[in-house]
Amino acid sequence: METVVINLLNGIAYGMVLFLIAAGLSVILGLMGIVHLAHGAIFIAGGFAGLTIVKWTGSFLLAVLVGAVTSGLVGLIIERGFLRLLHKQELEQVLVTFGFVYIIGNLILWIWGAWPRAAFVPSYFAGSIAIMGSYFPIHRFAVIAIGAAICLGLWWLQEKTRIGAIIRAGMDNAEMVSGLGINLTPINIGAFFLGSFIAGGGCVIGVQLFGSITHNDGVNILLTAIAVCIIGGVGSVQGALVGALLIGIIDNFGRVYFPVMAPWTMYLLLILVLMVRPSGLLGRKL
Amino acid sequence: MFSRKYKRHMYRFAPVIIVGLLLTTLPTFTDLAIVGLFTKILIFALLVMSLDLLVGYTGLMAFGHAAFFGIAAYTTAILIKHYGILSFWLSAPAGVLMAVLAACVFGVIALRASAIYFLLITIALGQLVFELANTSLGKLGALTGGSDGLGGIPYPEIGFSFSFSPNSFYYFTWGTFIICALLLYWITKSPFGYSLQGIRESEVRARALGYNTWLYRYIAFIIGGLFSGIAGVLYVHYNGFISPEGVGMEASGLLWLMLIIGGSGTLWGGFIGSGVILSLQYFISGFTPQRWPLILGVCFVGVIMSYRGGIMPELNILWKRISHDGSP
Amino acid sequence: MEVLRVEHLSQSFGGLSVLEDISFSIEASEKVALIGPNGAGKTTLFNVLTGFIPPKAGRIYLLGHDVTHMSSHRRISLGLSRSFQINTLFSHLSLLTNVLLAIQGVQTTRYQLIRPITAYKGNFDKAQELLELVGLWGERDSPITALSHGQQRQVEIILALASKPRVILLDEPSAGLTSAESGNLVHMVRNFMGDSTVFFCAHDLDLVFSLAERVVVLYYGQIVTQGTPEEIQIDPKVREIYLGTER
Repeated sequence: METVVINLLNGIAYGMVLFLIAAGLSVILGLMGIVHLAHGAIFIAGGFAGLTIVKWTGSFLLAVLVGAVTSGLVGLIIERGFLRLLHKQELEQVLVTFGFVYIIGNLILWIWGAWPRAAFVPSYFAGSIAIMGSYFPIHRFAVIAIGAAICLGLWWLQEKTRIGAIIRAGMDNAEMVSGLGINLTPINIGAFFLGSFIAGGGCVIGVQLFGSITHNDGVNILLTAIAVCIIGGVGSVQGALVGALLIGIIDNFGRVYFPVMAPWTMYLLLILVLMVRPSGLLGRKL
Repeated sequence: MFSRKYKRHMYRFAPVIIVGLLLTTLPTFTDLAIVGLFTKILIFALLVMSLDLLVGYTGLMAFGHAAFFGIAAYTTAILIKHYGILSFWLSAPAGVLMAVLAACVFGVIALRASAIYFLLITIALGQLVFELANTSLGKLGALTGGSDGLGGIPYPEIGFSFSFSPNSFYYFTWGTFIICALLLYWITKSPFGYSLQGIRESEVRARALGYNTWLYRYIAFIIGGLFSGIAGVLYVHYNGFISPEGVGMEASGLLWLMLIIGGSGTLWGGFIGSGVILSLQYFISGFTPQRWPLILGVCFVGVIMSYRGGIMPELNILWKRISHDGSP
Repeated sequence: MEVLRVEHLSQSFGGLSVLEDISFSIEASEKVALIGPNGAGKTTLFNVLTGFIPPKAGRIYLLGHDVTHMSSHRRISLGLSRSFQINTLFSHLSLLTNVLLAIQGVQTTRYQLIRPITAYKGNFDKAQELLELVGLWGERDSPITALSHGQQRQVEIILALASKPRVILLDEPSAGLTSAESGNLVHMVRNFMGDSTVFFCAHDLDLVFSLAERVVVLYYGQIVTQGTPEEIQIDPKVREIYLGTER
């Protein structure tokens, strides 16, 4: 029984990290119709930047900040420098982001080398708590707590603020919103930056769950994030959360109880959902 | 002497004939390394042309196309290495058949969705195949060799006491390419091929004219899988080795890059894209192999930002101007 | 002989009822017009008849077959065809290709994989016939995007004719046409759709009165009345719909 609880908690922790990546991806897809294939690479880039800061200064907080800002800036460059010029050409936008997967991945390799970066756990999160006879790392509790806090914050932004209302309206009918005199461009830029920012920070916070990261991990994590968005539903915070937790938990249980099948449980689930209910469990129709 | 009609046809097919002659005589004036490069170019040209049928002609955003290539390659490799089925006449059709079967299954799954979701499903299906190839656990892992892949695949065993050499395998590939390219060309010029283009332009209109649009897309998808599988079988014999890298999203992305650079919807664009990218890779890998993905990514972004139609349509326009050929 | 019969057809979007208990039938070779103010449900009715939207209730019979849940393309092969209110053409393909595809849509050769499309000379001749109807044979190699709006509207009509259909649905065929082009449209319907059954909707009452033998009036998703053009013209209910009640 204890193992079930521990696995559940592990799954939730992993799910929280997935949420931090997927939230940005979901908003970008829902708001701008862009399948941002480079989002995974941006996530990893933030992680590398943050871990380097940790090596230099030892400050976890600073690392999270730098990681988040790095990712945010990379995202901004891609959006302003390239995607903006391909307005409304959705296929071309997808392809450009795909090109950046190669570029960012190789730049990370160039700057930081091929060796995996080990995860770092700050002293105040070190150690474990005993739960029903087993031990669960405090750091992972922290991940869950931070993830939940950010989720709450984003949900509040989405539901209780004017900007959130504009974003939701923009996902339904961008033309109408512009027609009402609201300039969506700064909103789009802001959403893109925020999504990348949270992803980058999330990588530094959550890297402990992966053990280590390499420059190649961008693609894998991207696919998982896509799965989260599809399953949970595109365009809403709650959708990203539901999808992330679902995948996090299922993936974790899969690894423990069916290790041979583990990598594909997620894809099979994804394909199933796509066939039956393409708009996801909680999503708006794309 | 020649009638005007003949002259027009000659002009139109001249570049094809010239390139064809060059490729046929290639081994006589270049070394083995270049012959090997062009063998690879032809294989990938076929692969990209099969993708073009889906993307350029039918308008399907198929992002997991490398999966069929990989399935055929792995099937052939597994049969040869683990089951001792050395005869090309058995292992090759088996490989292609598996690719076609996969296309039949994947097509049913993916074609339920439209546009963006289709793109995402094909990515997911492609990655599923990647994970299957990459797994090191269990019986499957033993078969596929996990992330190391399967190596030591010899040239095809076609019997008649014949052994392939790099040059003769080049001709084998060239011959196969000619047949497949011709088939693909005929398909694009057939009623079926034009119907695909109509469906790409307006699905509603096509349905309102009596076309079963799902069936057309499905058949196109399977044809794409078929030629992709043929390329996969050729590749595993050429390379001697297949690994999961040849199957996943990065491989599919490479195909898209070749398609974009060459120009989609033109069929021959696949050949040009393959030639450009693989030649570039060949030369650059001589200097900085580690930076190749970076350069590839920059090319990708550069081409899309500036050159939407790809090289092929531009070459076409240029050629028409030179040969004063006004008719389509 | 009855070619089209609709029984108790209903359609709604969300809570909004768009078609309510529609029942009517059309005889062979009849020319029937569907009129009604904007939003009355005309295009929705056409979409349901051609299978682009399934009805919530009711039945549709085409040439004796129950087509209520039949897919669009199969209805076309039974002998139905349609033109769209908004130009729905194969934009980047040439005019000739558009017409050829329309002709081919009901032929088994449309599945031919190897023989080139140019081998089917009969279809090329038919295409020439159709294009000459509207004087566009000279433009056959131009992409649709190069044609004017009026020319494209005319192409919409020819595409509906190409499959030699028995029942033709024309959705606002004269929308965007000049009066000369509308006149040509009347000419085309009279002379080249003489044997076919034509069911069209229009706002242009001149068109209605010059073409229709019978008029069906749709208002807020319900059939208000039917009759000959003359009867409709003096019908007080129709006047009320179009002109409002007198004060």
